[in-house]
Amino acid sequence: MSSDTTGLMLVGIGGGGCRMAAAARLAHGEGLEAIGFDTDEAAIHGVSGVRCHLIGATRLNKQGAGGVHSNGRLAAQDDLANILAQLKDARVVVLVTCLGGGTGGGATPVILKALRAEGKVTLCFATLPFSFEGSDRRQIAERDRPFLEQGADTLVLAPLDDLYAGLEQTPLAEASRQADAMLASGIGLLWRLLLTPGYIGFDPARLQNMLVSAGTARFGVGSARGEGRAEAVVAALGCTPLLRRGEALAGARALALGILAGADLRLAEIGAIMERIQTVCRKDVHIEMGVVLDPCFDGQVELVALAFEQWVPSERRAGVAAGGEYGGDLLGKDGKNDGKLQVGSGKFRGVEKTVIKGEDLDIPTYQRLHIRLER
Amino acid sequence: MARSIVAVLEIGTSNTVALIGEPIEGGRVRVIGKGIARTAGVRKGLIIEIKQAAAGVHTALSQAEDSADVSVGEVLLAVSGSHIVTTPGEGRLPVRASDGKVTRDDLEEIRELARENRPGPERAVLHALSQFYKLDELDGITNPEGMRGKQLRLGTLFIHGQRDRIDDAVNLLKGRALDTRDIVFSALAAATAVLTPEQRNQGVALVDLGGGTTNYVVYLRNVVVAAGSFGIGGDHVTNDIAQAFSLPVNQAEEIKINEGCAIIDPQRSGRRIELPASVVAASARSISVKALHTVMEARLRETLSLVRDQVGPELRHAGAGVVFTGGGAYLPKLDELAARVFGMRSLIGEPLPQYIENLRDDRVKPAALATVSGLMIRSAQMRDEDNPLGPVGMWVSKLAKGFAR
Repeated sequence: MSSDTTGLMLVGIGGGGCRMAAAARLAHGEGLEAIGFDTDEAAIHGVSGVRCHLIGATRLNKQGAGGVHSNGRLAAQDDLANILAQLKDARVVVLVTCLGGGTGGGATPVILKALRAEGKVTLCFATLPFSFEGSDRRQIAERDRPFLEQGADTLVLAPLDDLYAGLEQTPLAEASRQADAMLASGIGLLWRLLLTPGYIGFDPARLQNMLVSAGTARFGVGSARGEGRAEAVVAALGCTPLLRRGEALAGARALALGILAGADLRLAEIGAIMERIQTVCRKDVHIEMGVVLDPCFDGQVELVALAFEQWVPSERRAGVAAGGEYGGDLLGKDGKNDGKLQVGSGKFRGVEKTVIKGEDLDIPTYQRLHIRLER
Repeated sequence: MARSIVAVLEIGTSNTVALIGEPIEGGRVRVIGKGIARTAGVRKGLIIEIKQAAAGVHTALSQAEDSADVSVGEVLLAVSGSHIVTTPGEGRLPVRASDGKVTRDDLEEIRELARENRPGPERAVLHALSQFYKLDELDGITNPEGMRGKQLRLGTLFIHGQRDRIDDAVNLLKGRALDTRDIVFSALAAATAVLTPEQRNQGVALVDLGGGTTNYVVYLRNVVVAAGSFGIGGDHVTNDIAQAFSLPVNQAEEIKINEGCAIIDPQRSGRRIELPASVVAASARSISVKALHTVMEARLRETLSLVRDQVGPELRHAGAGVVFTGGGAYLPKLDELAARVFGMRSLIGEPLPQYIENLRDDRVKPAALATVSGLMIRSAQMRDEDNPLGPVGMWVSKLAKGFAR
C-alpha cells in the first residue's frame, strides 16, 4: 500500500523522530508509509526500516545540527524542495519529532509551514525532554514549541516525563526502549485504525476533518484482555500518563476513538466502551469512532484516543471557509478560497494566528462558543 | 533647528498618525502639525507589507510636515503587537551600612542590579520599570531610604519585543531617511497622555482597543505592575460580523460603526438592518440587530476577559477603574460590558489638555490619538530634561547600543 492510495504519510524529523518513525513502522508493518529527515549521517545509518534522507549536508557536513535551532532550520530550508518532493503524494502528513535538539526543533516548523502552504493537513507528534535533562534542553524545547503550535494543524505533545511514568526503577536503556515503543506502537495502532477497512470505518479523510488548525491534542492507548475487558480498557486508557491520567479525556472537546480488537469482539462490548467513555468526558464532546477487527488482536481490545482540546463542527467550518470568500477583502487578492481548511481566514490570512491557550482566536468568538444567531 | 521641534509616529493597524509639536511652558506641548493616513500592509500591529506600510508613513508625515511647515529628521515611535511581553527581574543587595539603614548608594546600586537580568538577545527591551522595594519581609515600599533592614530587594518589569519585528519598523523609517529616537510601548504612551497622577496613584488599568491589537498597562501606586499586548482588535469584531452575515469587510465595518454596540441593546434588539442588493447578495435582505450585537458582545467580552485574566488579581486593586483608549473606546455601552467583566467603572481616556494642546482633529476622535499624544508629551519631556543621568540618559544609552541589550 503506498501513499498514493491512502494519502497518509508518517515523517520522522531529526534523530529521535527518525527512530520513532522506524519503531512505529516496526509496530505496524508494511502498510505504514514512512520516511525520515535528519542532519546526521551517522545517526541515519543506525535507523533501519525507514528511508531516511540527509538534509543540510553541505552546510553541516553531515554531522548533525549540534543542538542549534538555526542549523536545523537552515538545513530544512536548504533542502525544502527535496523534502516536499518526497511528500508530494500525501494529503495528511503525520510528523514525529523530539524537541530539545537542533534538527527536530529547527527543521520541523519549516517543513510544517511549507506543507501548509501546499494545502496539506498536518498532525505533529512531539516529545518534550525529561525534566532531569537540565533546563537548557527544556528551554530550547519550550522556545521551539510555539513554532510547532503555529505550524501544525494539530500538535500532540508527549512529555518524556509522562511517557516514562511508572518506569522510574527500570534501567535507563530498557526504559528508553519501552517509552519509545509506547509512543511508536500508539502511532502504529493509529495507522492500523486508519488504514484497515473497519466495520465502523475511520479513514484518513475523517481524521483530516478533525484536525483543527493550530489545535492541540493529547494521545493515549489503553489495552485489556479477558473477562470485563470493555470496562477495563476504558479504565486503562484513563490511567495513561500521556492523557494526564484522564484529565485530557475529561477536558476534551472532541475525541477520535479507535477500537481495535479480534474477531471475538461483541456488539455489547462496543456499547459498554462507548458508554464508559461518555461518563468520563464532557457532555458535549464530539466523538468520532472507528472499529477495526484484526485476528492478531484476538482475545484483547486496544483503545486508541486522540483527545482534542478544541473542536469546530464541520458545518461551522464550512461557514468559516465561506468567510474567506466573503469575509476576505473583496478588493483583496487574499480573498480567494481554494477549498482548503483555512481557519482564521478573511482579514487575517497571511499573518500569524492569534492563539492563546491553544485556542485560535481568529475564528469568530460566536462560532467557537456555538452561539446561535437570530436570523 | 531654530525651534525645538518634536515629531512622533504611530503605525497602527488602521491608521498611521504623525504629529509634530513644540514644547511650551510647564512641560506641556503644542501640536503644530498633524498627518493621518489609512494604513495598509499592517495586520495585528505588525508590518507585513513594507512598501504599503511605508506609503502610509509617507502620507502621514508629509501632511504633518506641510501643516507645520518644517521637515523632521527623527521621530519617536510607538509599537504594539503580541510579541510585546513582560518579564520580571529582581536585584538583591545586603544593606551595607553598619547601622543597618538603607542609603541612597544602596538604592542606586540595587536599581542597576535589578536591571541586569535582561531577556535574551533576540528581544529588544523597550522599558525597564522599577517595581516596589522589599526590605526583609516588608513588601511594597516605594522609598526605603533610611529604613533599617538586612536585605534589600527590588523588582524590575521589563517590557520587551521581538527584535526583528521592531527592526522592521525602524528600517522602514530609515528608508525615508528618518532616525528613530526611541521606541515606546503604545499603551504606556497612551497612559502618559490620558491618566492623571491621582489615577496612577489610586491604581488604574488602561486598555487600548486598537484596530489590530489590544494593549494594556496597569498602575498601582504610581508603579506599572502589568503590561501586555495581544493580536485581537477591532478588525476581529469586523471580521466576525463579516463572517456571521456573509458580508464584505468594508460593509461589516460600516455596520459596526453605525449600528454596533458592546452588549445586546434591549432598546434596539427588535430592529432589523436593511441591506441593499450588492455584489455578494443579489437581492436586498436584512439582518437582525440583536444578532449583530450578539456577535459583537461575544468578541468584546472575550477580549476584555483576556485582559482581566492576563493581569490577574492585581486588577482588583485598581481603585480608579478602567480607562479605555483607542478607536474602540467609543463603542456604545462599552462601560456596561466593562462593569460586567471587570466589576469596576470605566471611562473613555482622552488626552488631557494640561499636557497637550491643539490636538483636535475632525478625522479621528481624541481617544484614538492617545498613543501619539503620549509619545509627543514624552518626547517633549525628553527635550526638557537636561540631566544626562535622568530618564533621558537611559533612553539615549539604550539607543546608542542600538537596543543591543
